[in-house]
Amino acid sequence: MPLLDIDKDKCIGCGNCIDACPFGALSLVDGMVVVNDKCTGCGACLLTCPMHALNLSQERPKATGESLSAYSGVWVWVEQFKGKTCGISVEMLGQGRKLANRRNASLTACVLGHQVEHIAKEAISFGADRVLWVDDEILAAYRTTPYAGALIDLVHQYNPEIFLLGASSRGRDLAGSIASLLYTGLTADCTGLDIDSDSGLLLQTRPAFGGNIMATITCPNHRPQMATVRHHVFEMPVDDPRRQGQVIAVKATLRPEQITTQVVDFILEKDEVNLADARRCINWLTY
Amino acid sequence: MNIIVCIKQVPDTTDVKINPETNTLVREGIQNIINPFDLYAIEEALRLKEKFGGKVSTISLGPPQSINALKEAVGMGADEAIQLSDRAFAGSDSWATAYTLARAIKKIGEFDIILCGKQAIDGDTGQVGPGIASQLGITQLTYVFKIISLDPEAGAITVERLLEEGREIVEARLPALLTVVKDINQPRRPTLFHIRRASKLLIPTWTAADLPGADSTRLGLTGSPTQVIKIFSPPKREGVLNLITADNVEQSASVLADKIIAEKIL
Repeated sequence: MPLLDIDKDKCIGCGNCIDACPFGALSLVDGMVVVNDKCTGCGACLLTCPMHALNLSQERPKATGESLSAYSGVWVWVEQFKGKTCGISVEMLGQGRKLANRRNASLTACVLGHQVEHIAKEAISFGADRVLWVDDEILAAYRTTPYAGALIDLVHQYNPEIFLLGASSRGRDLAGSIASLLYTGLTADCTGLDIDSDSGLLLQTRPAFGGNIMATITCPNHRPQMATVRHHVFEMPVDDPRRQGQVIAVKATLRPEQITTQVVDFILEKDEVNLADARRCINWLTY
Repeated sequence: MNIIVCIKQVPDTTDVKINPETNTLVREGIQNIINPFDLYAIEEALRLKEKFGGKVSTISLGPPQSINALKEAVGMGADEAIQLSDRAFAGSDSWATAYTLARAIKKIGEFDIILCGKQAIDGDTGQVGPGIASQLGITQLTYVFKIISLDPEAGAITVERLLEEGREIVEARLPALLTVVKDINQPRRPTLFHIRRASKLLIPTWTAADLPGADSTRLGLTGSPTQVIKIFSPPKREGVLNLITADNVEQSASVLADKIIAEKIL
């Protein structure tokens, strides 16, 4: 049985859904849309139907406005490697500032590491109003468990509305873990972030199918709305060293014995260029 | 040693092209394949089994036709396969997918290692692996490039992870979930012996009713926190193709070098 229900009384045969289907599962037969067994139930067609004739025979839960209003503010995780801020996080602070302004909310930077107070100050110069600074030996090198644990504690305490992370290896590792444990939505690898002027929701745009289609995604009923963002999507903000902000020092709560991983070595690729930081790539083809 | 490999059936997106006139995807003749990154996960599982003994189980969440991906995995040498397919799972985002797979893995029982590809080539999120590890409360090791050592008795593993700045060596406790990158191995092709086994093997299909303790409000579209509100074609890229034609490599290199200097790229 196909996964999609088509209400034949509502379908007007406009064909909008056919173009939206990434799998070629929909076609018009006698002026009516039919679905074949290529349907994966991905749901990409549902909103293209002007007649609401398509559904996956499942009800989405409705948002409860009261519980969502308890969340406010935009957060950015400031990634650092060996005490140096990663460029992707600076870009995120710049875009986070713009989103926070549109929501009339504050921008919070989460700085985790060991002996990283300088990064907390830097985050303010790049636009943060407040820094939650967790400094502990346990956080010296990035590891999933202590980083996710510390950030989840902070989310529970402060209830952010939006939480952005860079789509780096560490950012994707961390975001997947946090979103899973918080039971909230995460849109990976966004190339666009905006605020919907009606609903106030974060509009998260990302490529799919190797960049052949773009999708705009929201997280209507869960908080924080989480997204990871690709490098070089947003402009680097200009720093303002005179900018003032609040730095709140937070203690890490996990004990070393609760952590199942230990980073024993890091082999830097000294002779190789980090392509993520390159402004231009030149590709050489020989025939 | 018990190893579980999570795989996904995806459209072969290298074949996907945009029709320039209608600006829509050309889908005719697109084949469904095992997500290429998952082939490395299957291969790594088979190598671990050859070294340490045990069993390789593969599991896949998807529409009914995704059973073909599981058959192919058995054709490569996996011992068992379980399909997760139900209308109640349809429309799952990465959260609901991870939740469903984690519940199924709990039902499978004892395991030492779960292997996943680093991401799927259709969604490209790379979030389901970390999601499963968190739901199960086990060690998470992403972007694994090499398993340096493994001691199932001691429950210890050491891996090399591929990150932007270089390679990180991590020691960890089992059970662990690993997501693997493509350089970890060279996946084998299915063999006739195993393909014949795959054709006879009964692959069970588990539905929501088969997952004990699964919260039905956390499955499928209902349980997915994210919602796709719009799908559209990417804006056309602005750019000029400047093809350098010259008689030999030296000459074309020289033309290119002049252009690079003239445009102040270097």
